[in-house]
Amino acid sequence: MTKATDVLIIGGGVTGLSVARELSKYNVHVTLVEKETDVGWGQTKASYAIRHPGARWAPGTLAQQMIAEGNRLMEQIIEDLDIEFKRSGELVLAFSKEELESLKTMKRHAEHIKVEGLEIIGNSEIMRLEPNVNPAAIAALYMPTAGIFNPFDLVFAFFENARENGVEMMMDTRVKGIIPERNKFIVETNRGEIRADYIVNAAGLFAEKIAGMAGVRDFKITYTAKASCLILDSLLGGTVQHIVTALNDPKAFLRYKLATPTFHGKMLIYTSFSEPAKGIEDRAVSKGMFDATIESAKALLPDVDLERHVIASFAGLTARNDRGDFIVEASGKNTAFVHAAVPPPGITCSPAVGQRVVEILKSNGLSMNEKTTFNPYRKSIRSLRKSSATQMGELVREAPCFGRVVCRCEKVSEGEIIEAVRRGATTLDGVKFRTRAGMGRCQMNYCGPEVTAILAGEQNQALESITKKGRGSNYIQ
Amino acid sequence: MNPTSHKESVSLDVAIVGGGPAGISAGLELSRRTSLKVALFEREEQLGGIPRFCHFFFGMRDRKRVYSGPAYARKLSALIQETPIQIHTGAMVMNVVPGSSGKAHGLHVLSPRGSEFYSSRFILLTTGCFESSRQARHIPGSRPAGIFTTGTLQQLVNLRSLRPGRRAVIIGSEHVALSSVLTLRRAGVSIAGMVEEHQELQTYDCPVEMIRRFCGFPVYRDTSVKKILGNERVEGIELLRKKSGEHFLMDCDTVVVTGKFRPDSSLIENTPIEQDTETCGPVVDMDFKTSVPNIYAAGNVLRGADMHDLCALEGRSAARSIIKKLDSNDAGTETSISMKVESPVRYVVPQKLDQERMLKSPHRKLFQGPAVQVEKTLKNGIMEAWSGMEKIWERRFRKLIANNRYPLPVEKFDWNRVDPRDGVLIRITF
Repeated sequence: MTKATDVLIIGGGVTGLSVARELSKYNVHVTLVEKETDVGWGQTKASYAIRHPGARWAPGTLAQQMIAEGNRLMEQIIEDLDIEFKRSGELVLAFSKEELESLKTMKRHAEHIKVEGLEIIGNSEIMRLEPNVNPAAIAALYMPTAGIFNPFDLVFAFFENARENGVEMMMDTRVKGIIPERNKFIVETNRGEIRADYIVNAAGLFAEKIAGMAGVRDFKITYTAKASCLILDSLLGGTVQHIVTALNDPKAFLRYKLATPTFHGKMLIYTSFSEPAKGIEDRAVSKGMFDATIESAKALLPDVDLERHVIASFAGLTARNDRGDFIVEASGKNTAFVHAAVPPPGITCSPAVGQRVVEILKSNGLSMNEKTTFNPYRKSIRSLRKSSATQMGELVREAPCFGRVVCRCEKVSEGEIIEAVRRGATTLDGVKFRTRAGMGRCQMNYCGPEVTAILAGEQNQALESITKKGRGSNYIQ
Repeated sequence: MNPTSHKESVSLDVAIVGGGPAGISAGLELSRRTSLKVALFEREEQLGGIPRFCHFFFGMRDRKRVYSGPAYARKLSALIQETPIQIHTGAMVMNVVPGSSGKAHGLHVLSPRGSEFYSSRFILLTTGCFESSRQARHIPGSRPAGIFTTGTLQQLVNLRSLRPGRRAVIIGSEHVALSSVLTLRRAGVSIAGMVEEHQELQTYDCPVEMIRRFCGFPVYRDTSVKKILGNERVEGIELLRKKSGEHFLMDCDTVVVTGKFRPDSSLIENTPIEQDTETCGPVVDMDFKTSVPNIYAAGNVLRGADMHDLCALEGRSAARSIIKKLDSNDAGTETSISMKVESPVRYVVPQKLDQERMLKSPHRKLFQGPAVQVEKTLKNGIMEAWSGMEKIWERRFRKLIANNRYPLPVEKFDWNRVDPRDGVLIRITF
């Protein structure tokens, strides 16, 4: 089976999907392939859900430019795509003179891209804003525009909106080879051949491998270190109000520890302490990583009982590259092959990267007319958590399944799960990341069988064929 | 949102939240007062709670005969349905809003029938508990499918007749680990072994030994999980012998994590009801009263898992306390003593004692007087009670098993030396 498309996007993470949505504004045929069963399951899945203001990147880097533009564009996207976002503000703490100097440098970085409201505050102001943080902090850089949001919802929103506007989405589609021909690429996948005029390489960790297939070895991906995040119970949800961070190394602004409230009332802790990955698919959380994350969070919040309240842990690899910056450019060797190699904070930058890729395609000969039928809006799944008691009553009157609470911890109804399946969830993780069913303190241990049964029923499949995250991960076997 | 001010709210005398052994038993007791308007809310379609998917030895202390879990659940369910109590199944209490200064409390209830408001003079919370997940137990490794708690396993096997996998490793050795052995056997899953991080088992040695021999699986004591293997489905588990540092692999496609129960107390969060930092459940006194007037709690919501029949008896006692309160209608000025614990004592419940009552008529009933549990099985130590700098009681023990509830002989405490400002601390020394 051979398909033909104008632009083929390889990779269904937040970067690829943002490119897809941006391209769906124009009269071009776009296809997106993703090797996993669902979108956002690479680097995006292990996001710590923060919108960065951009102080950690030096002026002149593409990363900082993308963050600045991404933040600017994000306002409209949050509005149009109905994304949960809260401007919580960020405090970068300093415990020494040297760290204070680093804060001043970070402040200059942020000023360069006109981040608003920046301030260096002293100990008493820190303690007033965040009474639980380590009182040894001598100063902090306060960045009020930073915020917390639901990053998965952004990914699904891009996916749903791009699909509605005509992008063809192919899941479970792994690229096996790319043959560049004159004015074309022939891309071999496990689901047949795709002929594409242009390729956007948004393959994240696999970007080097994909570029290699097309013979454009422009950079190396260095993924060797993984880091972990822990989610703490809602009992600790009010421990901090702002994103609280501190540098692990005063000279490396990307190496830090963090404690932040999550949009859904929990707390997330992270540290850049990392362990060598045993391979590109290694996302295991070791005891050492777990302990290091707890220990670093204790440096921020010394008197909080963290260990007892961990409800989830996850780790991810970061696809940094040998150039130390974002790579969003057409390959010098073949201008129809466009790289979008974006490490964290890829979510913050995604709107800017999408626009930049479109510009690059345009300037490299892709003829693009704006679609008159483009629909910029998408509504998120109607849910109990976003409803008042009266609105819940309206939902139930419309469909009684909204009155059946399946996930007790996060109060997710059957109606929401059914809607998630209709929007493209095919697995337990697909449902979980779309609805939050299973993200609470029991971690799908009470509702797992019920969610599986609903998935099976909606898809007309046997319970035995339902998986956690695609092929081979059957819930029961 | 304030359900109490809602125009359409239904008013009740007592609202019971949770239709397991504690909630139903409380309902049965309250139903003897036919003048009371009582409603029971259960989020599942069926009443009965956890026993619905457990196996045998149910009902001994509360119903004085032996049932299987499902039969016990059916029996309780049939009994309560004969009473005039309103039963709402498939109904989730989303919020409890304590009424201010003696006013009725509010409840927001969601079900496929709608979003409804109730106001009630009394609320009894009997929401039970849940097992800790693999994540909450800090078990390292990858995150494949095939990791269940005993509760999930029992739902799959006993409610849905499904086989979760082919070969399983059981983590933990509390009483409930034995339930998981039986459930796995019933489903035809072979058992690769049971892993306990401590040297001592967390339940009685004898039944574990019997079952182990009968089923033919090894029990690894003093062994921790180094990591779970497999990216899609569980492919094995790497274990670490703590003493020797020796690692070894076990092949399995299923991991069952058992025990480490926690109260399901989410309803008291964001309310003024005081929460115990040790149990994470509500703080109660000897009448099962929480810190908010006319809100009571009983059963496993107080502490994590304990025997269902003790929960049932507790539910009954709590109901009697509510009736007594309805009759006397006095606010009561009791001097309450706070009970606290120190690791390795896991908790003491109730956390507030009435000193005078304690001295007048000591309670030694398992389901009413203060009792403790320990975090892990302990041998040859001394349990002590302190008030400030004064030791007011001590007792040697040879063995305390993790899951058991040990009543405290509070009548033997030297109450004259108790300073109410200090409260009482229960600790263990060796």
